[in-house]
Amino acid sequence: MQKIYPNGFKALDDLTFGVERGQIFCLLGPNGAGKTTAFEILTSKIPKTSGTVKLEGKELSRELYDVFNETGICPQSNTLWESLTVEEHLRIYGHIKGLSQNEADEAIEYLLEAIGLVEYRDRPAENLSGGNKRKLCVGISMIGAPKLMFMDEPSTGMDPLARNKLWNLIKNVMKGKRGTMVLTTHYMQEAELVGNKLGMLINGRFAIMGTLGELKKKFGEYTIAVHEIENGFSSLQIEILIQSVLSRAKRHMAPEEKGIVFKVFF
Amino acid sequence: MNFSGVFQMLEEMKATKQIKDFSIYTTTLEQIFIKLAKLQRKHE
Repeated sequence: MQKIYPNGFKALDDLTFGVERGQIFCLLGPNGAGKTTAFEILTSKIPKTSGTVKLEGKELSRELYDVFNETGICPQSNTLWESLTVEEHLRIYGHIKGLSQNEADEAIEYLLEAIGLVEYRDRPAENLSGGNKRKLCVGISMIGAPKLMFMDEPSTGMDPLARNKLWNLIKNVMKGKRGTMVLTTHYMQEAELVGNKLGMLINGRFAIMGTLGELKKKFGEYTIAVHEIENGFSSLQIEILIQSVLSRAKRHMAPEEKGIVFKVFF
Repeated sequence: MNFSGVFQMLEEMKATKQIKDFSIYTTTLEQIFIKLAKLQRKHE
């Protein structure tokens, strides 16, 4: 897909990717790289300039209703009704997703527990903290176990405990390999923990895409740091010894006077 | 890559007080991100 704004700014430049069922694709990149633009095209919030978006094999521009019936979206901004309670939000979206009363009851209990909002179930959205509003939006996007889930920075504003709960929830939801998720995040730990495939956007294009192992293979390195060489032993002796067992270890500048650092590229 | 050999050797050197300490670590995703994010700034 491609997105060019009327002022000529190319936000997305021939962006091409696919996500297999059961996988989580993490869209990464610095501010302004095009993550949210891509997200908003995928969720049909804004139109693309050219290209094709197929979800579950259906062309988004032609079969929007069919596709979105089985889609959960957590946008970057919290979209909540201020006067409705946490439970009322989940119940409304559960009914929109076609859950029966019993199914909705079960799903609500599970999600309240999983996202840590049990004690806030009767609280109106306007009285929730920023982090709890975010949790509720995540819960809304997951109710009804949609086949496709789009999460735009879902953990923003959450404390570390809540983030951990969210990651566990995502892993549990994806356990059955029925769903597919596209997630944007600024937390690299989040991407490492939940992402099956990662794509890093720079200036509207993928600078790199692949599994964590593939990314590290391309850009990673090992560092061996010997922190203090005792008297009577030289750094050259250390270098010879290390290179005798690991010939690819190359000496690097030492961060401290008495130390020695080696880099080993993949 | 023979990292087990390097570990063993450095552990022995530490035990015999030839070195005080050592560490071995790999690049994090955050470091890869920072490396690539700098490209964006260059283009802006």
